[in-house]
Amino acid sequence: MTLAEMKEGERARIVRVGGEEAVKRHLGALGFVAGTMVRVVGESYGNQILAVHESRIAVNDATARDIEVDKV
Amino acid sequence: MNAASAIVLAVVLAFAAFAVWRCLRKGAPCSCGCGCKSCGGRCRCHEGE
Amino acid sequence: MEKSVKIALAGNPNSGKTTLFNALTGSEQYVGNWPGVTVEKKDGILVGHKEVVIQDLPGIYSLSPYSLEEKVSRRFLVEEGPDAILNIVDGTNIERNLFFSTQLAELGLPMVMAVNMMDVVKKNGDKIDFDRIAKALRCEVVGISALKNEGGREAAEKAVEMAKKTVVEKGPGKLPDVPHVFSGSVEHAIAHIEESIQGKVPARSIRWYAIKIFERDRDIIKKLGIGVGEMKHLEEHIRDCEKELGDDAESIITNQRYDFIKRLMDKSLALNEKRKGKPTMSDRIDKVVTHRILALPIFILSLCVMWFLAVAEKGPGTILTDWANDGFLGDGWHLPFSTHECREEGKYKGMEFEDAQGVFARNDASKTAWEEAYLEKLNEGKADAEKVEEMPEEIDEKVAAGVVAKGVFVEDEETGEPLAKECDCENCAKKRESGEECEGCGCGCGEPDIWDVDFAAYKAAKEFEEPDPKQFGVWVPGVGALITEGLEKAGVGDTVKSLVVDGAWGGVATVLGFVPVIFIVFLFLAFLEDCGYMARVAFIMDRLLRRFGLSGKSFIPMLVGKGCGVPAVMAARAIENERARRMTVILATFVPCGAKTVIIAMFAALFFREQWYVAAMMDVVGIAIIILGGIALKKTRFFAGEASSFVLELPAYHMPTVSGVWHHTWNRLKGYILKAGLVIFPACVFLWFVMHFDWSLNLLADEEIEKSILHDFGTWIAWVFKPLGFGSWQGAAASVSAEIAKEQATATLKLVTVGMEGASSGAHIQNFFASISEFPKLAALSFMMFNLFVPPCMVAIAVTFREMGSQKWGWLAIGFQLFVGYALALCVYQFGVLFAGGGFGVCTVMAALVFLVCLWAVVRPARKAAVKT
Repeated sequence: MTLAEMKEGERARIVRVGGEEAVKRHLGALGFVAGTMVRVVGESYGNQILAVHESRIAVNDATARDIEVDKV
Repeated sequence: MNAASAIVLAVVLAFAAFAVWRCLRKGAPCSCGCGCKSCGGRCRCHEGE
Repeated sequence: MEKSVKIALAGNPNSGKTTLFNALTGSEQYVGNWPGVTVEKKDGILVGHKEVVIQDLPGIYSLSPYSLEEKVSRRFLVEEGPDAILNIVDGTNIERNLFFSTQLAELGLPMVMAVNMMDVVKKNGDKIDFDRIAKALRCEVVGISALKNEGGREAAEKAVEMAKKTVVEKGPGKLPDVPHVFSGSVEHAIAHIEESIQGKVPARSIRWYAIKIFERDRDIIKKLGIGVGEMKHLEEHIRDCEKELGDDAESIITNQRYDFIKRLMDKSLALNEKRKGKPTMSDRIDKVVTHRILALPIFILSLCVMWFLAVAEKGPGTILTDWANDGFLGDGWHLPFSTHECREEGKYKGMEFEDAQGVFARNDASKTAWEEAYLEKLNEGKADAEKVEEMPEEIDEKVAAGVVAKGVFVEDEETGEPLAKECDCENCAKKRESGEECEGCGCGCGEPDIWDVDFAAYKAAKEFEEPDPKQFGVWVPGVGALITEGLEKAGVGDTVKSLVVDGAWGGVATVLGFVPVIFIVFLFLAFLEDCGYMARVAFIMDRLLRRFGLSGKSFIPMLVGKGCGVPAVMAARAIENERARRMTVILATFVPCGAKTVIIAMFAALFFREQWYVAAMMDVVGIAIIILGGIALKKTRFFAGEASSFVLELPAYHMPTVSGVWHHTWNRLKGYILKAGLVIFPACVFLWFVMHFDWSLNLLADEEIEKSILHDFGTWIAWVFKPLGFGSWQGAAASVSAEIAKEQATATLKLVTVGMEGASSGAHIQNFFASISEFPKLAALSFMMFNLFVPPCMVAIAVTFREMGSQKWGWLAIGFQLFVGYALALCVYQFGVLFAGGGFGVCTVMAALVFLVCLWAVVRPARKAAVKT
């Protein structure tokens, strides 16, 4: 499934980060790599606030749709 | 025009000229909050002007 | 002479880097909390070490060659080569921060890692093993708290030490100790690459270069002059790895870095068990602040709080501004707590200053009114040439006896209406104290206080002179009064006096008088930015903007725009998508900037004292224009396209430091105060000349202003503004002058209305608007909105053209902004007049048409995106 389908409070492990090169790179630097755990801290109107390591990253649904995850 | 008026007029015009010169030379005073002192006096936010 | 030592300060955004830099160098660099507000590299001298230069690099997440900030940092680190690196790392977010650290470590430079925010780490109960990390990354690791000023200095000094030591020890061919982060096959490939680039790069950084080539970094490959053939050979190794690990080279490197970090953290980071899985304070705040329904109202509420503080009638902003305008810069003021009753013998003995002024006002009104009536009587039946204009020395008692001035009153400064009666009886006094209206005790309280003056009353009234403020407390003369007095004492002629007092000083004082308002606005914004809320606002606005096909990333520059439009337009660079960037450039300046805030401040003070929400409305209107304008633009062929991605780090909320907020605020404020002296001053001098000379350069008297150059110029274009309600030469001149600097509009208004009635600060501007329109408040509103929403000042326009890159786009931007500002003012005025009963006219129809066009532009169906961008 994709990150976009996750709901508030759910956790998942990233499987693959897709999307445009530039975005992939930026996400990578922020910690979005295969194997990382993410948790959805907040969600509304399709945008999410994600807990990645100890940081909080906000993404919109277009971006989240390109990130494949395995729900935990 | 008496002496006092002439002096005051000269001062005002001189200052106005200085202000214009300084603006042309260094750019209008930076009001963007980027801490222009550390830019060496000239705000980088207006770079290229 | 000691050789200078260069220390690079590098770290993630939000790691506290700038706070540390300020502490180390004593500078006052402004701290930004979101991307797009980076400033190019800054340097400063380490306090106490004259030979040490600290080079602050932009906050970045990685050393890839893609963004401007990264490129600048790379260039400095790799080519210029500092003597040591001071890597600042956020201790509460250490895993992610280390991603960058591993890259820095590979450069082979002496490095000190300063783990910041240790105070929070300790409070959270987490533990970090510095020694382990130091060993793994081959660098020194220390803990600091930049906020609390603990350890930063020592960390920098340690870096200096290391730099000096290495300089001494460095020998040719000696490879530094760099961490080996990657797995077998990748290390193998890297080793091959290192072999082939031996000699082409400084020995200490060979590993970093090799990794970059592995990642196929085109910049590096080009720079090193690696030929196609050579590259093909290396490609084989790279492709082998990619096949083996089933991913592309860049991703492999990124993933393995995080793997390395994870293994390291498993051994060196012990998070407090009790905290695990629990929402942090920031999370809890965000639940409310980014709530689906509450988020936007909370944001608007915060704006309202800001404007309330800034311009509401009894708020701090207005109190300070009134003091600045009337007191400090005007006639003068009493030192607080020094006022007392008049102790001198005389009419006002025992009274407080305000009461004395009230008494004087009454008597002065009586005196003036009676004298008018007397002169009228004297002049009865006389031919115009014989009429007496001024009160003669001797009063003809016979005529005087029959003169009674009727309907005399003291004007309320704001409303122009007669002041209300206030009777002294106990009932009324009690009622007034509790704020109630006084009625029913038969004393006439609350009714307009109007009376008649006969000769006897006149004689009595004449005896009251203006109360001397010095008798009522410690009186500080205002700058304006001092200037006027000074000039008079020096014997300066009237013309030059007018130039200085009415022209130069009048304009500058107008702008300076509203500094308290923009100070409050800037202070509030600085607080919101420094605590981390603004990043949330960008996120919230993205949600909102996305529904209309726009992106929140575009909103960030607009938030920046609340200080000044120039960096706002430039911040659009952070947006990769060209169309989105262009659109942001066009829309970024619709949020009122500091200079425009001066305009808002003036109009709020003059016309909307009790309706402070009008000021807040301007921000809301700005945001609305951005949204609606964005929608409309998106539907044109220039901008149709997919919405882009949005990724933004939300830093943890933290209490801003006093010094941080102060510096942040002062840096912006300083600009405006300087601007008043360097831009407004000469502009007003110029305007004064152009107002007092005609085309043949004859000096004009005050009443002859209609012959002046400015008058002609203004009249020439005034027709443009007629449908907007301020189609007079003054309104035109003020609006045009605003292009020099938006706040110049206020100064120009002050200058061109100096001939109007109303000596008190601003009454003449109100009278001016009353003279050009039946609905002065509407005309004022229209004027304000026009100047707020048309193209920004020339400086910002120049930046717009530059950022757009082409003349065509530049003019498109300007054209759009002109249209919006004009349309807005037009509709506000015309519809306002219509609803106020002012009748229907050609202009109303025009406004309706314009409104419909705008409506259509926003509401029409969107074009299908032809090609996916």
